[in-house]
Amino acid sequence: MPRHNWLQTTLRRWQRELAAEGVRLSGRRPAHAGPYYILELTTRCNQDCRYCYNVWKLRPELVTGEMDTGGWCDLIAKLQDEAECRRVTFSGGEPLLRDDFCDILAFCHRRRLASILITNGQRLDAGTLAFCLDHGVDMFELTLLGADAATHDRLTCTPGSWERALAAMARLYKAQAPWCGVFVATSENIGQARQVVEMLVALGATAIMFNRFNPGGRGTHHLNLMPGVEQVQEALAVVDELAATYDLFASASIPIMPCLVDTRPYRHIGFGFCAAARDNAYYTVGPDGRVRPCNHSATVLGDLRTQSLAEMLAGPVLAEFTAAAPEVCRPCPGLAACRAGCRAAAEVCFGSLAEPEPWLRANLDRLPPVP
Amino acid sequence: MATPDKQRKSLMLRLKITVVSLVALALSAACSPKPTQKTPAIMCYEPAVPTDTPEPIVTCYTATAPPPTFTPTPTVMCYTATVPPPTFTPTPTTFTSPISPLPTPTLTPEARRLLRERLLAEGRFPQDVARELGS
Repeated sequence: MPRHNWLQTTLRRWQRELAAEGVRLSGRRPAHAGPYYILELTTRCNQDCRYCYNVWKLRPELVTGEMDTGGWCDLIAKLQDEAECRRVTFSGGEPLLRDDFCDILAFCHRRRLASILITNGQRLDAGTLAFCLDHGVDMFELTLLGADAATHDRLTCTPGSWERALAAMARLYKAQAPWCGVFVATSENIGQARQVVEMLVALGATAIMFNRFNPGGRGTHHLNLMPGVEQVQEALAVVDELAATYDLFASASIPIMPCLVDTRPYRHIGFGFCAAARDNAYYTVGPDGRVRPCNHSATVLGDLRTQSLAEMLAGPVLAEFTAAAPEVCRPCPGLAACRAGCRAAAEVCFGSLAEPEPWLRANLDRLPPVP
Repeated sequence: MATPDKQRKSLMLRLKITVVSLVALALSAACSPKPTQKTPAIMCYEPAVPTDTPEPIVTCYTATAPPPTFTPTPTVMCYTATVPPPTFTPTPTTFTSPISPLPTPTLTPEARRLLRERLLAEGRFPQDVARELGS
């Protein structure tokens, strides 16, 4: 190891501290901090949403247990050391159902990890919110499914969930917390896109996510919730208009395949495609420590308790996941970017990564001829 | 978003780096060996007398020292750090698009306030929430 004098050592330490704050000595702003790591703290949930994509609701054998506090802390430390991640995302199930959620969050905060909390808001009371804000949660993601209780609660199968979600959003508004409002667009609620997004904006959401229903988990039993192509187009036009009006950070994170919807007119919406193995991937760690390419996928890349992340990401399973595409998409010149929609949904719904994903399969007759 | 405390800490670090760099540069310049001022030595070589040459040959070489090109190199480089824009907003996790090119929204408080008032007037929120929003 090279020996450094006091001056060099001190400067290197300062450099590291500056870099840790996102400042590079080259003067360039670092690229956006991806990939992301979603930590599914628990399978338990206090809602029973019909659109839920949690894979264990379809294949319980995919989760072999739930790590305790120490297990999660060890795994988070390993993830930070190996992957140099600077932010983790808590999800579930409903992460706030864990009694030790604050302990795990505090552990992350001690290690200077920022975090994002995906929650249905049912248990986001004032005390929990204050604790989160004091311990490094810099983004909350909450879902609003309807402009009225009936629509929302019918989808969550949980009476009172609409009012409790709105109450949590109002607390975020009062606390001036940064949060993202999620609208899961199904055939039942997509007509309320305008009202819902307006409510989210009024409640102070700093970003909007428009997610078309993507079947997986319990959602595989409710394929009728998939919205039609025209419905999605109309809703996108609404979101685009509101994003422009209120200067919103809007995105459609579930793939909208360009062969089904020309997304170019919606200039104020960021459209995303499958991110697995890309810079903005969001690898997902299940409740038992096993890693998947994303939170929709049932593919297990390995066990983070016993394997290194690098080993998993370099392995053949992820390569096979990202290379898969249905025959109908292979001639398409846009395949490399589009990745044929959501591979995870195809895998979960039809048992094969090479199947057309459900929304594509439902609209195969609309595909344009490939030159 | 960087807190004021973090920004102050960043500024202090950058200030420290600049000061120490300048001091180190000055020290390095002051303490570095000066180029020699001596007249270049004339080195004479007397090769062994060839056995087949009647007269010894003495060849003298005049060595010319190269012009001093040595420049003291400071141990420390000076850096100019750039503070990231203070408006950085963390991105929700499940954005899958490469959204970094999109501008960070500059919120429009007035438009939002008007929208909030309209929705409150239309009774779109439950009473508890409306109370929170109205207060």
